[in-house]
Amino acid sequence: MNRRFSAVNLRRPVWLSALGGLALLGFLLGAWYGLVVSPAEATQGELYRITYIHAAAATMGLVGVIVLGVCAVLYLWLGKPIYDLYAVAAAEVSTLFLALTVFGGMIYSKPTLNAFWAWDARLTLSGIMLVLMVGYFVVRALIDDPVRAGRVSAVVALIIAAGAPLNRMATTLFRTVHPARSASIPPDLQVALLINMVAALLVFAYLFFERGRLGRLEAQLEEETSPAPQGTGGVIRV
Amino acid sequence: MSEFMTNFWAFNANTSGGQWAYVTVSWALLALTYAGYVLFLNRKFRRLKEGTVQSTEK
Repeated sequence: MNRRFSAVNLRRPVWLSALGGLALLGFLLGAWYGLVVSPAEATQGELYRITYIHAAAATMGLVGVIVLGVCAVLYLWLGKPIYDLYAVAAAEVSTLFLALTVFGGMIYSKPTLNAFWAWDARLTLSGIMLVLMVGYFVVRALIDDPVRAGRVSAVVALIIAAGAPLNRMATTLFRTVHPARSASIPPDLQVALLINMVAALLVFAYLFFERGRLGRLEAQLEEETSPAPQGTGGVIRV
Repeated sequence: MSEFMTNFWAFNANTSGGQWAYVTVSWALLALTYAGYVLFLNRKFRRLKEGTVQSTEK
């Protein structure tokens, strides 16, 4: 039988375990710097400590959306199911980070803007992007044929990814209550922000590859329990 | 209860205690989300692993 996926090793690869350990260390170091070492900011006081995780989560959310877009393009272009699996992994992890950005942002917004939500360009675009990401999974769940589900959801993914640059530039393109990207950060606070950014990147990478491995195992199990689709020779043609 | 803790539990954003309350909630949300997702992946992996072993035995 032609296998569409190479067999997945049930034991976690050493490099993935090492990445997980690094991500945990990065998170702990980021928490230490952000909550203990870093001083309070002049205007926002202790509240500024939320920025370290809020900015990091927002950046990783957008990175995830771009990775999703790249996987979607590769799937539509080359038709290899592995790209669809990694698109799902990127979508799931970036949804997690986008949800953290939106809900964490609401907690941050209450003491600084005196409201949980403002219909402002940056906040609204982030909210729309989160809803679209949920829509991505709804589309996948509604279509039974995995090939068709992969192709339709890849188109949805491209639409979502196209919105990422607009979201990133929202603070410069529109009048907004959200602080601009170019807002100056005192040097002693920049270190904490940088450490938390790197930590979030490590967490993102670990979760992405772990979810990808899980997806491959899922596909392998499905392949073993159901016959290969007729006439395709195990290769998906787009 | 100290003034700090009173402000903390009241989420009084004008004071250091209240600000720490918001910081604590935000960081706890992040840590719990990470931990929850890792646990979710591990549970799903264990279930799939059992399924793979069963399908190989068949």
